[in-house]
Amino acid sequence: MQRIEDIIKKNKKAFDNNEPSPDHFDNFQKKLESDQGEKGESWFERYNIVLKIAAAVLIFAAISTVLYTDSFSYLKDKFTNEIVAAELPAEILEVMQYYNVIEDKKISQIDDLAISEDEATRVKEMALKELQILEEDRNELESEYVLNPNSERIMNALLLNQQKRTQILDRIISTLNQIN
Amino acid sequence: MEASEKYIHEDLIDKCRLNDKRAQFEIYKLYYKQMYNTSLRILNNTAEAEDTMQDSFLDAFRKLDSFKGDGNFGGWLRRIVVNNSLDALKRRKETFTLEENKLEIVDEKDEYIENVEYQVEEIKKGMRLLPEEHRVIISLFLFEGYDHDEIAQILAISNNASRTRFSRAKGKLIRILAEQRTIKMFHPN
Repeated sequence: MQRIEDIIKKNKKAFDNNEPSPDHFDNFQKKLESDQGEKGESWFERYNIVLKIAAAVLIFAAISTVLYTDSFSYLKDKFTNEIVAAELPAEILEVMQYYNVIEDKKISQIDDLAISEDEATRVKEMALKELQILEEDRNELESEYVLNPNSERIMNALLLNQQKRTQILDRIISTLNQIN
Repeated sequence: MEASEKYIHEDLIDKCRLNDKRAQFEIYKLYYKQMYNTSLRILNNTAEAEDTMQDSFLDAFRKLDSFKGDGNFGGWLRRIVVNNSLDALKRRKETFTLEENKLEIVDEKDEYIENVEYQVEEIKKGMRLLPEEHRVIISLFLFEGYDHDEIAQILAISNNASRTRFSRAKGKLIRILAEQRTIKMFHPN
């Protein structure tokens, strides 16, 4: 004679012997992929918008015939690397530092090319706005990285962010060169 | 769980934290059956249980940062499955409150009937025939091993209410099992 409790306790495995549908592994695989896909998609979708805005600013800069004289040093202060060393792996920091040096050079180049103060201020403001969006993205990515240490996806996104900042500065230089 | 097995799981869990799809799938293969059966006992519906179980794995992977690793991963995952299964139940139209009034009080006769050697399959069938609320409390206490304090927290009821519900649910299960035996005696096929 046994109590229900004892029967359940002694035969735990026999009570857990139901199987899901035969294609549950495939179904789960799909769910897993789509779950990760959604995460990736939202980031790239957001990034596309940033690129579109960046392109609009560059078109405006191209139409403008006045050049810049002011210094971009405050942009440098604002947008050069502020990554917290303790939170990112050394190799990533190294690459980020590399891009920061490149950014510094490009900002000096823009300083040299700019000759009109008014237009320089206008373009700087717009560029600042674009870089600010990228900066917000980077801050968000850094926070995400703290929650998901060593995430390859986030590290790649951080590098891509840094590259895009450099590209924006490149296009400004290219436009200034064309105008000159 | 043996020490070596625990180590392997911890390694896999660390990879899951890094969004390693292969590791996540491995974890699924290791735990799906227990989790499916847990969800099935609560929901009593195979398709719904499978869906809830799989979604719970995805939830778990998203929330892995909140798993500190000091406890048992299976227990942590099971809690997610139980909560999601209960949420799925809530989405159904039947409510616990309505069934509260229908509860029956366990009597002496039930205790007597309990002294019959029930078979696993009979109990499983009996569980399927139980009303929802009874099935949930029996699942949580007898199958998932939660104590009344934990059940009180999960179901947002008092410890006493959990004990009372369990006693009534067990009485009901015993009665169903007895009825099934009687039916079987008169209609063996």
